[in-house]
Amino acid sequence: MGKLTKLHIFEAAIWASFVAIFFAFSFEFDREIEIYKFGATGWPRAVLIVLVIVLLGNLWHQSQHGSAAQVGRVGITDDDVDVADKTAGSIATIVTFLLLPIVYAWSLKPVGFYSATPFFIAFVIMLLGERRLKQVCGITALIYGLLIGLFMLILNAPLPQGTVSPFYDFSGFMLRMSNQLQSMF
Amino acid sequence: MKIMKALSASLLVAGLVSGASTAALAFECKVKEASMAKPDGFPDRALTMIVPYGPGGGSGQVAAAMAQAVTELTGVNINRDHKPGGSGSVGTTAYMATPADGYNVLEHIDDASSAHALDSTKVNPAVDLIPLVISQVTFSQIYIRSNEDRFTDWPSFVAWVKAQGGKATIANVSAEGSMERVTMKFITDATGMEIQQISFDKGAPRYGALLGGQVDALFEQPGDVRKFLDAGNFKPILTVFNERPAAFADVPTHMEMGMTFEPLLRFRGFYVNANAPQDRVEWLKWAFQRAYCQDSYQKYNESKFMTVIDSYRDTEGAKKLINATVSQYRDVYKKMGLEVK
Amino acid sequence: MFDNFIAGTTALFGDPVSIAIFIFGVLGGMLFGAIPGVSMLTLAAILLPFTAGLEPAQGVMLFAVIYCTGTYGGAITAILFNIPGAPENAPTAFDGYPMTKKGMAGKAVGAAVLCSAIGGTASALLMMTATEPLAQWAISNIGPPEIFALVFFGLAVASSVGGNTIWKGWMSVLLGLMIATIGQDPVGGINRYNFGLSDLAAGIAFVPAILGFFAVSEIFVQAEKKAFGKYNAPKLSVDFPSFAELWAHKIAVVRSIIVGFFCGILPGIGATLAAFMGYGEAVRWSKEKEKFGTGKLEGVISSETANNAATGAAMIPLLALGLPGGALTAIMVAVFQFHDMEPGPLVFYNSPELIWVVFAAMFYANVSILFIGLIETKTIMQLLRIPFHYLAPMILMLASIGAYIGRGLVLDVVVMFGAGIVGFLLRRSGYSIAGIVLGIILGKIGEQNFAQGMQMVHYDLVTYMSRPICFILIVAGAITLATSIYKALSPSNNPQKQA
Repeated sequence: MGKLTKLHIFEAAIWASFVAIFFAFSFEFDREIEIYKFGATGWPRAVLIVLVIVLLGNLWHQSQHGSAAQVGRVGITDDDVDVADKTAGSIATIVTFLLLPIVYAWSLKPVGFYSATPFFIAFVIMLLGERRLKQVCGITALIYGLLIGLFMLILNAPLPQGTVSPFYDFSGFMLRMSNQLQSMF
Repeated sequence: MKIMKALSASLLVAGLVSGASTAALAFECKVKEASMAKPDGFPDRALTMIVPYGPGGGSGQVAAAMAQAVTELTGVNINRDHKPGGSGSVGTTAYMATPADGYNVLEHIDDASSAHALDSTKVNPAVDLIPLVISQVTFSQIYIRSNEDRFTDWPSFVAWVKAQGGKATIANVSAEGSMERVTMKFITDATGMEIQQISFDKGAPRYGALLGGQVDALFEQPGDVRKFLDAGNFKPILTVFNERPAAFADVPTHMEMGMTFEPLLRFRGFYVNANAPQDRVEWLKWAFQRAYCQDSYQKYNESKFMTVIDSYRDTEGAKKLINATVSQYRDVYKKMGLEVK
Repeated sequence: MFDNFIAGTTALFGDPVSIAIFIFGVLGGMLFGAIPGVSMLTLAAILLPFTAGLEPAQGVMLFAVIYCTGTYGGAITAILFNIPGAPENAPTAFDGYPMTKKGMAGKAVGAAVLCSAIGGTASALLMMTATEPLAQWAISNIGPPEIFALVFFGLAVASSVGGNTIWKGWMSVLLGLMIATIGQDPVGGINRYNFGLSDLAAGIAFVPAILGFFAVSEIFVQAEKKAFGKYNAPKLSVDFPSFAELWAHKIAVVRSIIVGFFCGILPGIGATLAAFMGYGEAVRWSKEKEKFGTGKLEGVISSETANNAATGAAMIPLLALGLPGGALTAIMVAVFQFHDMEPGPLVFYNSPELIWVVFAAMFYANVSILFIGLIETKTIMQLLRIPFHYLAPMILMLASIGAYIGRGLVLDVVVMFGAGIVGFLLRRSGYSIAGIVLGIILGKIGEQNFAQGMQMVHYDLVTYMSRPICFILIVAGAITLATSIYKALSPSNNPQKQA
């Protein structure tokens, strides 16, 4: 086992399951292509095989040298969060912070950009420690206003309008406003 | 060859195609009303046009030209929302999820019909959608370099390809079941030649491959390679259409070269959800069909060789073309052994 | 050539509309490049529909100018926030961000301004001389087999940069390559790995991946520090480098111009590879290798000179072959097509005046980086004064819009935030997020050209290797690979202490 730690094994297990899942799913599209010998699966499977070899190399390296970085590597991103300071509260905050954007992104299709965005901005500000209601509302309105001004009024960018009522109707209202404002200039 | 026989029996499309005059078309607008009252103020804001392809390709360009023409005609803005990917399926799915209030329209090509032919659970453009107008109908050709000396015309090309024993190459865009792949299959079956098709999903590398001698020939529609034709880089050696269009009077058709299959056409058009309010649909039909007659749109179509055969289909004409195309593809797929759902 | 250049200049500055567009492009590129969360790609995607109303030369010129100044602008966010504006700015962050942490942001940004201007101007001059002859040569000598060989070579180089061991460097790149297989296969259009989500048929685009791995994951890291009470606001400094400091790096600048220009010519991977190679070469020739990545000025200089040196070069395959060298040049293809033009050799015959207006504009845009850049940068640096809890939602929103605009898919916003979480977890484990992004960008190009190349040579490796460019690139890639594997196995490169 050498210098292999439980963390290394766990890391390798995640990679191995990634490979296994992608290999298993490759049978879903394992069809011949009349004009191409290697078909739709040739390339992804070749990449997976190389990945397995490199994964073994990585395990070998970790068993010999632990987590030490090689000399002469460049461009290593370093992060210096001190693990000792973690409290249940702070971990809950960061987990919420990681998941909140995903919820926002999923909501864009049914709810749309115009309705979902102010809530998202306000939540982010609050999660980052701002509790004063006036500030939260003020900054939310400012950011929302800037985004609407730039992307809807000036650039006419097509943003998600949502698909369900009343959110879609609200987007329609915003676009009508935008049209009327634009026609004034 | 079995496919060919089955196809030559299906003359549905033939009637539609030969209805088009192949002489230079004198343009006459089919929509007489120069204006139409807005039903209950619709539309009172910009329309959104979902385009399931990128802004640079044939669909992106025709969407831009049509949007401009509709705006010129009606003063209503159209925001184009490009959602490329999955051979047009991603944009179509996104379109079907938008409310059917008439504010959302869709651009699509014949791929929607062939996708429905292969899998009937997919959107049927003639039933789930209402075609507002089909504004581009075109045919395919096979091109070689103008300075090519190994072959100069279709018969010498076929002879040369046969002599290469399967090593000759042709560039096209060839997703499974696509118009390009099916047509190439017709051609290789009919001539008995074996040629390696090489698929390029983007135009520029596809044309660059022929220009630079990476491939021996190119399968394409004339509007997309007009620049290369005008500059004398490429020359067509085969037209896949029932008659010789006047603009290509000296290029033989596949029929003349002894291939009897019915040509598959490339067409691009504009649609609205079939559940949209009737009065709004009528207004949209008028706006898009009349916009086809705008000078800017006609000029655009002309620059793309889209006036050498009749490119215009109104709602009923479009439905006929779509239905014929779907049944034609369905027959072909069955013969090819593809699983038709 | 000189006459053409004068003619281009006259056309550019003789028309008030062109001048306005030029200034808009210069400022817009810098601004969007320098605002964290959006990039020149966001601006380009939004502006695309509007170019239909411009003259063709004006439209293409606008994007060429945005490309020059945006490439520079992307360095600002890389340095100040560890958020590269585009993949070609990724290596700039390796040393630029540590410099900011040390309170040396001004020096890093100052070096970026000067080196971007020098690299870009030199490249513009080379481009003017070389495009036409190179176009003629490339069109018949570079096909899919050669492009695949280039991708192979590029990946071999990329894996040796980033990641704290070669194994992790490669695992990062391979993860990127696997992500790139999601979507439709390049030959038969068969759906792969859509896991029941119909939108995945469109594949994973690289713009949301870049935004997620770089911008969003950086916000997450900072947010975590804030939650744990460890957040230190980056130190503001406008202390620009002295002439002597820059002059000391003159060799690095010249080397990066050469490396940047030649990599920049490569279609598909040009500018990104240029920046990585420029940085990698600086490390290779340096006597103080170990100081790279800790805030060494030479790191910023070599990467920023190289990526701007690639801007002119990237126009060569675009104008000569219609082959875009990166994301922004790919959008320029669309601009051409909007005006019913196809970028490619014909442009030289049909619209020489357009070419020279674009060339002249790029030259002046690079020169203007020097003057406007210094002024604008001092303003942009004030962004560092905004409290993080106000800046973070702004960046997240801009990134969301930036991810969505490109293809109009909500999926891309989901992918971006997903990439943010993955990046957040991976970057502290010694993996290279730049490697993953490069894998995603090169994966599609690589597979497509591999397939086309194999079809062309009829799956015969001897025929493949008998193409001289393929032979050289594959052998060079293999040597790079072998060297890095040798290094990985050699005990002298693996200290027995924990890093």
